[in-house]
Amino acid sequence: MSENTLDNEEFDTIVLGTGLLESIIASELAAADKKVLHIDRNPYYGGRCACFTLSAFIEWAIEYRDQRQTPLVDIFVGSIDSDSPTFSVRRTAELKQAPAESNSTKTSSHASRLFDRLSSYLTDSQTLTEHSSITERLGKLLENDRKYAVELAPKVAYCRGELIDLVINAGIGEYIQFKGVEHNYIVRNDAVERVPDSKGDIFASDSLNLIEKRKLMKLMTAITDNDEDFAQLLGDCADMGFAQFLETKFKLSGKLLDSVIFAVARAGSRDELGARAGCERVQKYVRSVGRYGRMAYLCAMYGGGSEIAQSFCRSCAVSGGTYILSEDVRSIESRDGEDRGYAVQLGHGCVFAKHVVLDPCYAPDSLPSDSAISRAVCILDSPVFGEDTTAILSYVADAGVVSMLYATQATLAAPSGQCILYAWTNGQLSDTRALLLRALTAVSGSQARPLFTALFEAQDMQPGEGGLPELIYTAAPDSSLDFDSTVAHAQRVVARLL
Amino acid sequence: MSHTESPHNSPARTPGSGNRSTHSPASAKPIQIKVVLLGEAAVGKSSLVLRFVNDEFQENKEPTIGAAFLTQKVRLDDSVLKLDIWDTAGQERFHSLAPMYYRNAQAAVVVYDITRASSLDRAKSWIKELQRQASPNIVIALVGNKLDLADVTDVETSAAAAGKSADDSTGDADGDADEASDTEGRSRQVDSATASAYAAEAGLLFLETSAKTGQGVVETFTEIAKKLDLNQIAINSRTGARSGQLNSGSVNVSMLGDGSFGADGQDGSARAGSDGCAC
Repeated sequence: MSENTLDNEEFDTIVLGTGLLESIIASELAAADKKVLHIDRNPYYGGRCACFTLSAFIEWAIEYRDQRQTPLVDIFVGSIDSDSPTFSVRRTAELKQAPAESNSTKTSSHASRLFDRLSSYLTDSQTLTEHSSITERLGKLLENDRKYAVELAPKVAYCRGELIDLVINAGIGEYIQFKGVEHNYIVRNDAVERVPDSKGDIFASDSLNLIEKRKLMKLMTAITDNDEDFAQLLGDCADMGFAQFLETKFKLSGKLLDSVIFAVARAGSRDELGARAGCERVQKYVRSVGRYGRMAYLCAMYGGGSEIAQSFCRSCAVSGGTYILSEDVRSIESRDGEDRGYAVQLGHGCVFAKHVVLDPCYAPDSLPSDSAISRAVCILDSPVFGEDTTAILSYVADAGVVSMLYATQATLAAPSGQCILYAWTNGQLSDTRALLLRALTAVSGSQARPLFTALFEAQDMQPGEGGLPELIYTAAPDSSLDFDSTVAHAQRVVARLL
Repeated sequence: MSHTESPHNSPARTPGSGNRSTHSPASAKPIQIKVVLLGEAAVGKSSLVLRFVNDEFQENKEPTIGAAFLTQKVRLDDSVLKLDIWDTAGQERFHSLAPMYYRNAQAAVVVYDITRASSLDRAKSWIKELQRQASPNIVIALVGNKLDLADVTDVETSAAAAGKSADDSTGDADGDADEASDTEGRSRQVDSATASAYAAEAGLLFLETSAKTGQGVVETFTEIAKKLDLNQIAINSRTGARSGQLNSGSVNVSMLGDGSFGADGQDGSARAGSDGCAC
């Protein structure tokens, strides 16, 4: 139909990719009366923070090797004790002969069709008799397929953070349902403990002795009473690392110290944060507690980042933005002559724009960057922290620190009676696989058995040398727990374009 | 802009049905209902809602821009329903509606243009999509719009058609070659019986409307209201199973206790137009 062509249309900005970062940019530009064209090459919203039903996630995993970011997804159906996953989806894997077509192919279930697609990636450990039990277990999971919301890059929002402020300002609070993240746990020496994160909590805590309670109270009071400038509090400790600062000034040690550094300030390693940065993180956390209840974070229902991204996209559309999913982006070229800007060749025609904002994985010459995040998604057969709750966790071990998110039917992430445990850490999967599996095992403990686990590596991309000079690149979701770095990045881009 | 119940939403149109009497009359808070609009571009989706909510009609309306949703109250027996009617915001043009659009919708109005057969095919594919994506209890109304163009075959129609259908909600004014060619002597391409039979088979409400004259418009929304399971919806909204319960006010203690609320309700400031038009 002719209404479905865009050939030769002019836009102020073309945005490629519908992750949260790109969607915020599109929405803010459209709100400022810019003419925006927003495109995703996938048939779904959310890009690299998309959210899927379980079967769609498995299909994503199978396709993932074909994209340039990450050539590897490991899938365990059942136990994660063994070193060998059930399936290992690899770009370089020699595809094995798929098992002979079973006689039930025509009427085969969703599970067995998925199994057939996955079977090329079966690792050697399984015998043929195990194959049918794997199919059976997948089939059982897929009975509840639509009750899973599996996120590629889970994050939560500070109650008093940039994302919530932006949601309110953009008027899209109406579109998104949030739930409080009720609990914060720290996992040390494979033991899971609540982090007392409000004054009331500290007061009531059974696991702290009186001296510890006083130390923590002193720290929280000192940090909350401070205004933005920590000069006085920091004193001559300004150049210290955050850990050393807490030890010196507040005499924190052991579990208390780790709780503040990792569970509250969300440091990725013991020496990542300086004293000032650490204090700022603690302040943000403490100020977030109490805005909507006694928790510091909110979690969006139905799958965090993707849902929020869709809401920004709707907001952009309401302001006149044009949306195309499943769109082929064939080329991006500088426009010669007096018309500065770009010509972008799409499936729906050639369009022009003064600016192009793109997820680097849309750049024709982009390369994987050095930094990678290893991620795990694990569905457990019992909700280890309760059915109606959401929790964040930090797993702290000598081998590294793992951020974790526990999601249940409270945010409609998993069917009743099950839960999803996410775990992620910086580094390549080959280095972090054991750490991620240990973190999952420590949390699931003896109470819950893994039903389905996937490990994958999310690599950021960077534009290659030959790229066009003035394209504006976004980035893949980082490893931070909250959305604020995403919002800050979006706001930098918007400021540049307005 | 605030919308009270329009006269044409009178209770007289809503014959009694005993099973909804659990809502006490005067004191009852309006029950909030999310209604989504679907259908091919330019079938008159926005025009239908504008007729229903503002009782107005714009010839050659521009493609939809700027309305997040419109709200209209409907009285049904002793309940008051507040219909939040969500427009596609043009995201249907390239078939790029987000799943969050259907999320928690209790009703959908799927619109086609009776003068364009292809628009019914498109409507059918939206209905499939709804049956796949939306909640299983969703009430779906199939609506054939532009009834005013159906029977008239004189010069006047061509005049209306020359400006593109009188009823076009999404003008797509330039470069709509298809449209231009078939606006010549525009007449009905989808007969009532065919669409009605399809709707009956698929378990949908079926109506024909004209946003231009207003024919069938109020009935569409009243029929939807009658078919909703209000008891279930009231229970769900009490237990916080769907959004929206805080649009109109502050977060109260019970909501905090429930832990589910919209981010905009934090300081008791009602959002602009939360009781009327939210555009």
